[in-house]
Amino acid sequence: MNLATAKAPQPSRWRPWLGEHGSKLLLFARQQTRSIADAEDVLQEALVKLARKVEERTFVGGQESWLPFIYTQIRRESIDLARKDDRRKKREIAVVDDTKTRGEDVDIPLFATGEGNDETKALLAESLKSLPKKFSEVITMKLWGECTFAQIGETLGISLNTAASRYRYGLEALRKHLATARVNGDL
Amino acid sequence: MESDLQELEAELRKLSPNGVPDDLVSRLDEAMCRWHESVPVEEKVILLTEPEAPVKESWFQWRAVASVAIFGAAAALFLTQEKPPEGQATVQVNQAGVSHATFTPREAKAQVVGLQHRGYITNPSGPTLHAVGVQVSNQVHFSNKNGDRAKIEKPTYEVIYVPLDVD
Repeated sequence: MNLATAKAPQPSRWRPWLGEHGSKLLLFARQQTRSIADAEDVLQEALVKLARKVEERTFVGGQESWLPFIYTQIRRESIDLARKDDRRKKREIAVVDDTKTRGEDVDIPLFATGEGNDETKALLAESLKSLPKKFSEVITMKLWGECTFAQIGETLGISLNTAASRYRYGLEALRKHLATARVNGDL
Repeated sequence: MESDLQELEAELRKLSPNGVPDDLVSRLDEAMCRWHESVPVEEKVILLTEPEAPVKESWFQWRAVASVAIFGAAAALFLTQEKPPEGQATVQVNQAGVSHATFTPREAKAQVVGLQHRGYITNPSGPTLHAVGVQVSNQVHFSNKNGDRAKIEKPTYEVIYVPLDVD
């Protein structure tokens, strides 16, 4: 037997699904957390919970319900992580500057650069980052997570109408941001 | 929705989230396959071997039960004092030391008689908890009009969790 072949991990049943949805989930996780490392950890925790539920046959719903479940889990895990982080920081703050020990996050763009007007894309991505989280998370879930407002509402613990309103307010804020950039000659 | 917002929406849709690196996909895939090796947070609790399941009962229940039992015993004694019909053998009931007067609860007290260190419970979303086993001796004292006294004692064992501020 070829040793290299034997050691190579076999792609699991999750792999194609991860390949299809991984980027949008990571995007959402990055919006919810303070660093890329945290986002990856939170995403992994959420995925393991999904795997556990599916394998133990306690997951309610089919594969179409996996994404909303993961979004909910990412949000919960992020909140938990932020709380833990805050408590830890409070303990450490008197001793050492925390950011120095953790290291600053590498600035990896949220979106891929490619064809088209990269300047506009970059500005849009920046504008999205500058939006209040309550707007940007709805926009992210709607546009790239392909969630319905009902699913978004369920995940975020808000009503369907609130989710739709936040989406609209978020887009309007983005539009204003772009208009300002045009006036300033940034575009 | 207004047309300019729709345009913006279309523009945003053109953005595609940065891809997930292959090594991260592999890591996530492996973690999902090994889901059984991770312990859910809600299960990360040290199992304590309880000597016995503590039964929570209030003092009012105890006093009520004791009162009913004593009342029943007293009633039974009164009934056995009735004169038996002619021709029947007399049944001797041992009444030594038992008064006919009804007992009523006079005093109830609970005293801690022992503490036991039972370990620590880590809780990622909250403070670490110190588990302490507490042995309590619960007593109810009864007396009647004749000055007779009776005591019922019930030891209990409970584990309490004390939050610790741990660095």
